[in-house]
Formats: sequence, structure tokens, C-alpha cells
Amino acid sequence: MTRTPRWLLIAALAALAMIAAAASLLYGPVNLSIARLVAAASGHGDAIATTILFDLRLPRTLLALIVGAALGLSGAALQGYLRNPLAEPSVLGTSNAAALGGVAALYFGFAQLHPAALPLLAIGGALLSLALLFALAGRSESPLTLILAGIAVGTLAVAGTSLALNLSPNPFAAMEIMTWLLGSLENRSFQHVWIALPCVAIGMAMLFWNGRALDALTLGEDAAQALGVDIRRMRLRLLVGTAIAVGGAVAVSGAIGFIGLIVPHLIRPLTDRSPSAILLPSAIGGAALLTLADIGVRIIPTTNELKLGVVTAFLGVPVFLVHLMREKRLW
Amino acid sequence: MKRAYIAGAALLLGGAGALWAAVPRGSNAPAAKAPAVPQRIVSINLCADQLVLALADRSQIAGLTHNAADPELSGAAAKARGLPLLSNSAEQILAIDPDLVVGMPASRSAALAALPGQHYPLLDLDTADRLDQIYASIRQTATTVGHPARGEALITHMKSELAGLPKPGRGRVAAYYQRRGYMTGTGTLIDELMSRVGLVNLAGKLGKPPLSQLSLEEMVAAEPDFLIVESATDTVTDQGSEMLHHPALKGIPRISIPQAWTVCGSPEYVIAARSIVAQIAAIDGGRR
Amino acid sequence: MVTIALDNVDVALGRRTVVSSASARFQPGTLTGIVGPNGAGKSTLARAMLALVPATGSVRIDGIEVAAIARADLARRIAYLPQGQTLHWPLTVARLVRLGRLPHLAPMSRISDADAAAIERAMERADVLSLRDRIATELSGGERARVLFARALAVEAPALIADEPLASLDPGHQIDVMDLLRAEADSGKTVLAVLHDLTMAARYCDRLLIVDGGRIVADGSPAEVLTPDLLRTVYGIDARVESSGDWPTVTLFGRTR
Repeated sequence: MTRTPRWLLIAALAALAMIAAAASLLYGPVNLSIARLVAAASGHGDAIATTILFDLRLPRTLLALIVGAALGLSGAALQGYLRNPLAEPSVLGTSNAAALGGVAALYFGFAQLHPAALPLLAIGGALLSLALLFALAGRSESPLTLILAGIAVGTLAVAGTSLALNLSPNPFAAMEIMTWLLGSLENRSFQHVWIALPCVAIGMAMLFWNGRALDALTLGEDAAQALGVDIRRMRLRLLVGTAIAVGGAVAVSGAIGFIGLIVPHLIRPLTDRSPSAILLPSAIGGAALLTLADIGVRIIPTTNELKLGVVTAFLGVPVFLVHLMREKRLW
Repeated sequence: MKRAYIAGAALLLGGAGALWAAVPRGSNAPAAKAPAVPQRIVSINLCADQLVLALADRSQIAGLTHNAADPELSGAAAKARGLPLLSNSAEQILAIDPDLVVGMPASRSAALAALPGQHYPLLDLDTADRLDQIYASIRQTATTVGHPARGEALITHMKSELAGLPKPGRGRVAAYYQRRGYMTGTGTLIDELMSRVGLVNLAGKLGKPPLSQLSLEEMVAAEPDFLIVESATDTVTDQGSEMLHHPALKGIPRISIPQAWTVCGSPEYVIAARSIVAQIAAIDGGRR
Repeated sequence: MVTIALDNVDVALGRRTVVSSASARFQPGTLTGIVGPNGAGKSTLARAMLALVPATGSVRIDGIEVAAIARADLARRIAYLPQGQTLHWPLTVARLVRLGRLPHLAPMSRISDADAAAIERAMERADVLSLRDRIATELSGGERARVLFARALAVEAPALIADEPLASLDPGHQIDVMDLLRAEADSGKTVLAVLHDLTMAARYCDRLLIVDGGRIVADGSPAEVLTPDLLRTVYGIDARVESSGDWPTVTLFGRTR
């Protein structure tokens, strides 16, 4: 099997992400010609094009890249740690728990006390769910246990979110549940970029740090420890890093599923299949994929803009099923 | 085996019959006639609350909707304090035994449909999308509650207030922008308010229906001169109101009026119009 | 040069005491075989030396308590080949053997030429060079065992602890692995191997530790330790031990209990 050289893979993915980002800037409900957009980008455009480009399309595109990278990387890292190719933040219920935290912040007034309350509560939700998950099934050799635990945690979080929205003193809260459970980047502004970016950056740094340790885990926990890996510290870095990255992302976009599942799965055959090799390509691939999905929801002609989670689910469930059928030995 | 089938069929038919008999259908008997000055008036609609509160004596009012005292939704909330507030319950209406039920309309109320044996006097009001319809509702209500003179006085007062109102809009374009980007179109009370103060409704200009959604990009491209928003969205409490605070809209001057003044065709119409005029004047003054 | 010293080591897993009062010394240049019945605590004893299980008593590597040695440092001193053939990802053989170099890699660096050379040496000695581009999870049990052994060799640590390295191997390859362990010991390394095959153990090891019920019940040269009485007590087997060749041969007859 001829393997793609690593630099080529990363360059190709980065190019894909850049192209997707450029396309995302070109597309929107108002038809702006490329000439107008280029003029606006260089500072000589008319007021309408400038406002649309810088205040609306640019933050949205940046967020698609940031959130996509966070989800892709955390999926790859979780799969490496849990030794399970089906692990990813939404399957494990982490995204939904982060959404619950975000909902608590926004609809019960905490976010008005301080804007940082939103990402902090989302991160808190993610942290609690991951801790619960690891306690329930982290040591289990069976991938089935892990998936079931994830379903339990995720369902609990969804029920909690629905309850919270209905209990909120704000009568309009319950109508926004779909945005939180399926995800959307509509109407985002730079304020959301400043909320997500630091969290995602810190979380991703913590996850990248684990590359070697994840490789060592290929041989099992004992062998990995004997190779010098501090398992406890790695687990903590992974847990906290995933919570921060996913929490920061979900706080601004809602729970978007399957990016962390699809991207590592597609990328793995192009690498040497070691867990560390997949980390960076998954981050870039996730950024590209979510940006493309976000263009998709703007192109598909529906009355109300489709939620991102719908597109990613349509893409992700077939990948999930293919894997299920191929890996019958899992159960 | 056959006996089981026959028994089952009989059970099904019997059950269906019982169900059919149990479901209340609208009463075919005509409603009774209201007394000249009703003493136990029940209002089952928020907009009807406004009219009843404005035109009837407090002692005449036996029940209002529970939204009547909510200042967010009810313009006459202050007046409604201390008066009995009902939830949409047939039991409560039965207990009061009203001699007038006012609704919009009253005859299709679900609570009343649950009481087919009762024939309360009903007043059906139409939703008011225009000022003259508001006047008609006022007259109707005033007569039915036994104070026709008050109705005329109120109408006269409103007319005189509105007559002296300037038109600072000067043909400029405004959009009534709600949570999640919903925009109110022509043929509505909001639309009439806009024309009264000299504003052109953006929805009309774009040929939109009475309720439509406009994305932020489209709003920016449309470059309206004013945005009219309901004052509840001045604070960000959900993503819908967050959208209205998006930086892309920062260049458009805003007029903010409470929903309580515009959700119903009521005497608050005048207050709304005056507020809009004052806010436009303030914006124009600030610009100079 | 690595010396491993155990003094009165107890290991409790859950509420069970798996190892009790274990004391032994392991010197450079020796190959020690650890034998005993299933569940006797052999693997746990090995894991205690690597601080993989909590132990009371003293476990000292080169005189320093193992708990006080940083993991990365310990990894460079002792290479560990665990039992079972755990392999979670379908890596190529070369990539897998490369994992053995982890203790030597600086945080953000690539593998050096020295590392690459060590990997090649390890693969050659374990006779897996021809398998280098194969996917490790698709190999036969015996091939996989040799590949994992190569991974342990690639660490090139002064000590090596191998837990049941002969599992799944055919006689020819069993001899190959034992030859390798012997060669490692002869080059000055401290080598320990948990074994089931008594004859192999007797043939290659300088010293045997017999572990039964968590205790070390015998510690000495194979000739001293492998007596029919001991085998009867420890294993419940009837056996004859012959010393006609260069090493004792154990022939099994049957069960006593």
C-alpha cells in the first residue's frame, strides 16, 4: 500500500480548508459579485459589501474553521485514547452536555452577568459528562460499554436541555432548542469568535500534547506506562483538553455531531494509522468539512436555514454504519 | 371464534358511540341577550381585556385573562391589578356565571365549548388591523358594557391626539424587526402606525407577506433608515434577540416600542404613535 | 548495568494478596526465569518491579526506590514485554517496532538516525525484517509475538523483563527467542523472563525463581531448584528430572492431585 507522505496530506487538507473558507465568504443570501467583495476586502468597497463581508460572513467562516478543527481533533484524540474508532464528542454525549451548560448560561441570565459565563458553563458541562463517562466505561475493553455509556450521558443531557429551556423564564427559549441540539452558525458575530477561539486553542494544544502517549497506548496501558507514559496525567490532559475545546465550540455553535467521527475515519487510511499521525490532519480536515457543511446549509433551498447537525448527520451516519458492518468483530 | 369477533365489534361500536356522544359540539341554540348594563363581564382574550378595562366600571368586571396584568403584553396592565384573572378554564367561567363574555371571537372559545348547556351572552370582536377597526371595536364594546358615551369620548380623544401628530417620517424606510429576523408586513397595525408617522414599511417595499423572515445580510443590503423593535428585545435573553444586536446592524438607528402597545388594536395605539414620533425626532435631533 | 532488588515486597490487588514477602536480587549479565503455576503471582511480581502495581516493601532499581524514579527514566532502564498480544491499531511492523524508541525521543523531535539503526537491529535480531511493511494485526500469533519482542528489543535498555515471551511460538522460534534472551544477558543486561516451559527455563536460565501462591518458594540454579519433590508440591505433577545433558530435562508423567 503506497502511503501518502505526511506533508502532502497536510498541505492538501490545508488547501481544501482555504478553498472552503474562500467559498464561504463568497456565498450568502445577498448576491455579491466577486468584484464587490474583493473591493470590500481591500478597504475600497461600498458600505453594504463591507458590512456583510466583515461583520457577517467573515466571523461565520472563521467559526466554521475553529469549531470544525476542535471537533475533528477531539474526535481523533478520543478515538486514540479509548482505542475505539467510534468515539467522538457527540456519540459520547459530551457535545450535548456542553450544550446544556450553554443553555443554562444564556437563558437563566448568567451570560448577562458576564459574557465568559457562557463558555465556562459549557466547558463545565462537557467536563462533568466526560468524567462521568470515564468513570462508567473508561477502563472497559469492550467498545460496546463505552457507546452505551455515551448514549446514556447524551440522552440525559438532551433531556436536561429540553427541561431547562422549558423552565426558563424566557418564553422564547423553548423555540431555540433545535439550534442547541443540532447546531447552527447563523448570525454569529466576532464576539462569538472571541469566545470560542481561546477555548479551542487551549484545548487543542492540550490534545496535541498527547500524541506520543496515544501511540504508546496501542500496546495497552501497562506497556505504555513501561514506555514512560504517565497515564494519569495523560488522561487528565485529554479530559480537560477535550472539555475545553468542545465546550468552547458548542458554546457558540450548539452541538454539531459526527465531524469527530467522519474526519478521522476518512483520514486514517491515508496515514500510518498511528493515533498521533491522525491528530493534525483531523483538525484541518474537520475545519474544512464543517466549512463545507456550512456552505451546504446556505445553498440548500429551505425556508428556514437548515441546522448544521442535519447535514453532518446525513454524512456521518453512513460512515458509522459502514464501520459497524465492517467491524462485526466488535460484538 | 366467531363470538369473539362479534363481541369485539360490539365493544368497538359501543366505544365509538360513547366517544361521539361525549365530544362537545358547538351549541346550536342562540346566545342569550346581554342585560343593558352587565354586572359580571368576563373577557377571554387579551385584546378584549384592553377594551373592557378602558370602557367598563371596575365593579362590572368579573374576570380577565391572566396576561392582562403582564406589563410586557398588556398596555392596561396597571389597571388590571386587583381584578380577578382567569386561566382558560371552563370551571372558572361556570362559577362566575357571567352575563357577558367578550372574546375575539367569544363564540369559538374552547372553554365555552366545554359548557354547551350554558348560553351566556357573547360579544364577538374582530381583530383590528386598522385604526377605523379599532374605533369600531371601541364603539361595539362601549355599547355592550352599557357606557356608549364613554366609547364616543375615547374615540374623540384619540382622534384629537392623532390629528395634531406630526409626520416626521418624511417618506423614509423603516422595518419592524423581531426575534429571529421576523419582519411585519403590510395590512397590519404596525404598518398603519408607520404610515401614520410618515414612514414607508420596508416589507411593503420588498413585496413581502404580512409576516416574513429577513436575514441579516438582506437587512444590511436593504439599508432601511430606521429599525423598529419591540423593547423586550433590547436586552439579550436568547439567540433570537441576540441576532437583533448583531454588529452588522449597528449603523441603523433604532426605535423601540413595547409590544404591549401594538399587539392589540387598543387605545394604546395613540401612545405608540406618539412614542415613535418622539423617538424619530430625538434621532434626527441627535444627528444634527 | 541495572540491578533490581526486591525486599519483602507485598502486592495486594483489590482485597487479595497476590504477592507476599518477595525478596530477590537480579544482577546484570544474568537470565532469570520466573516459573510457577497459573495465578501464582508471577506477572504481578514482574509488574511490581516496573511500578505498574502499588507494592509495599522495597523495590529498588540501582539502589533507588522505584517509586522515586521518573517514569521516563525508568522506561530507559528497563524494557517491558507484557503478556498477551495487545495491539489496538493496525500499524505496520516497522511503525510498531518504532514505538520502542519512545523513551529516547525528546518531546517534539523526529526519530534520529541512531533511533532508526536501533529499530533495524531489533527487527533483524527478532527475525521480522521480512515483515516490516505488513500490518501487525494481520500477522499470525507467532509472527506477532516476534514483532512485539522486536519492539521490546528496540528500547535497548540495560534490563529487560519479558512476560511469557514464548506464547504462540513454534519450537524453532521458541529457541530463537530464548537464544536472544540469552545473548542479551550475556552482553551484560539484566534479563528476567516469566516462563511456563520448565525445560526451556532450565536450559537457558542461570537462575530460576519458583513462585507459588504469591511466595517465592525456591531461588537458585535450575539443577538445584527443579527436583521432583518441588514439582510435586508446586505443580501437583509427577515428573522425572534428568541431568544427563548440559541442562536438566523435565519429563512429565501425570497429575498427583
